Amino acid sequence: MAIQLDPQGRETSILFSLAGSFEGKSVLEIGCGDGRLTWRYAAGASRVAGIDPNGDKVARAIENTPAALRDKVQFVATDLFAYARSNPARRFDLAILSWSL
Amino acid sequence: MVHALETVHRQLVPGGRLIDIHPSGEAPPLFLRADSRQTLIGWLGETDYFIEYRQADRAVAEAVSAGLFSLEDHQEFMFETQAEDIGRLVEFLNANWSDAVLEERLSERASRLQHQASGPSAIILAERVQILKLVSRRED
Repeated sequence: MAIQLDPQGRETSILFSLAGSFEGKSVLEIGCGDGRLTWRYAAGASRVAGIDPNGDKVARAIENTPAALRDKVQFVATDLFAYARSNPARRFDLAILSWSL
Repeated sequence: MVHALETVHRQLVPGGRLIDIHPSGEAPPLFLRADSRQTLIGWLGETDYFIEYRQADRAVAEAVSAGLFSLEDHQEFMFETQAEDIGRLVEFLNANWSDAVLEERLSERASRLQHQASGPSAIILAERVQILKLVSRRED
């Protein structure tokens, strides 16, 4: 163990209890970082856009994307405002502000 | 921050949900967990005294008042960062939490306490985190 984040899985557990099922939902995750939280719910979602201004973390997220999720998860190194300007017509069922407000 | 919530609102379908996860605006305690018990080392500081989290609370309240969202649920949980030793935690904070302040005396106390522990041990940073569920209320 060098560093373990939320080893008890409390964040994931409460996220699922509040958000309910991710099945079939489109999700915008703002502040996705290296994908730590994304991997917990993405399998059920229909598509996921994960954005974060930290290019190094986003590069790690892209590199570590499991093969099974590559068709539905897109990571972009950008901030919310730039993303919204570039995707003005895109709408999501669920947005997650992940430690980023 | 309210502008960010307005932007999120525009990216949601009508009736879409927003989950906001952010720490509460209080200094998180540091513990040594060893020998089946926890010993308080002290509290982590921040150069801006955690003001951004209180600002986030106010921004959510404003967005709710403005009719963009309604608050459907609100819970809290403890988010633990477990480090092998204080040096690893400092490395992690330097890479991920640029305005964190860990006083030297706390690092020294953590090292001393961990050195005295007889069995496996870890340094624990325990953050109280809020998670809010909001529902998009109206079209722009």
